[in-house]
Amino acid sequence: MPSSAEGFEKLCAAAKEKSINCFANTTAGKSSHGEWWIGWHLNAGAGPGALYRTIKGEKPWAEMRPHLERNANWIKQGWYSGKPDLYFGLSHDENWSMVASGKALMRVSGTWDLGRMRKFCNDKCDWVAAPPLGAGVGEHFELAIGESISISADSKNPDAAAAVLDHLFNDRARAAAIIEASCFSAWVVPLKWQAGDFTAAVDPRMVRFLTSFSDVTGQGRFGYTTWTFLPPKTRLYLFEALDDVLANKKTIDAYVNGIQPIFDRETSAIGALPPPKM
Amino acid sequence: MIATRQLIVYVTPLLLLQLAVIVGPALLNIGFAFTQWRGFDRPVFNGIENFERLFADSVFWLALGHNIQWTLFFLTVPIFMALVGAFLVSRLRRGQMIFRILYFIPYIVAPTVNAEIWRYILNPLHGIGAQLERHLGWGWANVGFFTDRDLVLWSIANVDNWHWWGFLFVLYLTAMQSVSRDLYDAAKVDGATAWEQFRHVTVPGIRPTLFYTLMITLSGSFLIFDYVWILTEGGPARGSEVLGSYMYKQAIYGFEMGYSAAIALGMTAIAAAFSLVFVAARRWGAEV
Repeated sequence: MPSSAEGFEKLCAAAKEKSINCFANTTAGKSSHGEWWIGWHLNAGAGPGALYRTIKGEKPWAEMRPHLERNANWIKQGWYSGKPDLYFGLSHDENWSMVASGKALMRVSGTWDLGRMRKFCNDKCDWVAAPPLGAGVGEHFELAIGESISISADSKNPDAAAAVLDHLFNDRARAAAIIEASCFSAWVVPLKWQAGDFTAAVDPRMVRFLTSFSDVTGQGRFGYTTWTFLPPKTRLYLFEALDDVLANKKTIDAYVNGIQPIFDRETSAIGALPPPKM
Repeated sequence: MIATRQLIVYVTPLLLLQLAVIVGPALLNIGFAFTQWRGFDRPVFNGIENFERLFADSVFWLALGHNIQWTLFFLTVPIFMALVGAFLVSRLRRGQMIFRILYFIPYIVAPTVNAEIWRYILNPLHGIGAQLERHLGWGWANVGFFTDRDLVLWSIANVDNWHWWGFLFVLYLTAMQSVSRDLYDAAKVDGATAWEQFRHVTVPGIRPTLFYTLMITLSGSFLIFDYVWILTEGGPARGSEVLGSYMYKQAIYGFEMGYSAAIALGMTAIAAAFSLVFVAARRWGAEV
């Protein structure tokens, strides 16, 4: 697996010569999916530290230009879908089929896709943490809040509700059984796992994910997903305007220059979710 | 004769339901359109700010243009197809039921299923065009119906039309069967061609049904959301952005409930204006 943007570019060019897709990543008519790889380029290209300062308003968005431009260029090269015009048209299942059949090298996705990985690839595929693209960027995991479960302040019996949540989430054996059954590990992540917590029946790829996620994020090595840490309009702009760039309706300059005014307006009006400090 | 009290008893539950699910939310929407509101905080009155922004919003105008094109498509193509189809089938002595069933089936299939069927048929990797390209070398046949921003709106309109025109066909066919055969016989005696029979007997005979279908097509098509959202979410690059999809994105992705309420209000006002023009034209004697 390459560990720099240049390494990926060399690999993708070589794959294209053999008519193999570098990445199986398309939006299937849902432009919001584009933010998965926007987030990868921002975190792994600029580094989580630089992105943290940008989200805090301490660095201008213009400094993210090389990473946003690289993302757009890779899609335009057809490295995400084989042909640029397929980028808007293929579904996730078709993407996984390409990976499973060897027509694509890899797929940029999140932990929610681990179940599909097992379904389509069986034992032929494995995962790695999103590799670094920029100099000095180390291994990290992007944090996201996909869902949250809370106890209502008006609950008549908050202690009982808490007991139910404890029952669901704090029992390692039960959580491990759910992981094995569903191959979906995202919602049990807050538990600190060790390899010994799992029986031999649990998919070793899940075990490796959960143990390394605990270790890596526990050391403060994490990045920031756009859908959790960016203000909503800025987030919306990032992936919608990317489609305009891909359709040659907007230049990369106009795309990048368009972020700052939206971000400034939003953060001054409503503030942003304070990102956790690394 | 039903007594007034009985009428009130029968009508009140429906009226209450209507107030709860239609009038109440509609009034709330009007109120929210004049606020800045993210959906989970307290709405703050901001006067006509949302509407000023709406007029300056290029995406709103782009989406409105798409809505108008979409509406014009549905006021012409499916109605023409259904009228011609129903007229031809009405002249059959046997086998009408087969056509009724075949053309009506898409209407009872859920929009998501319809959309998925067409997504597979037109899929750029596995669809019919892709197969023709792969096996016969016909690259021209593999068109990016849902990926080309110049084609996408019309492609989605055709998917929607596939389910809609069959419904109109059944309505027109039923209406045509109520037109007296004597009128057609008299027209034939006078030497009327099939077109002249259609023009001077069929169309006047089904005018109430025609007007009704034009009205429901007008209101339904201008408020389009489902097929666009299922197939493209308004993309690629806003090629199929309509007011409904834009409003949804502003509300759900952008947390701008106040602004999206203003879009909804603008959309409703425009649809109502079109409908009023239509009703007025009819009242002034236009043949619709």
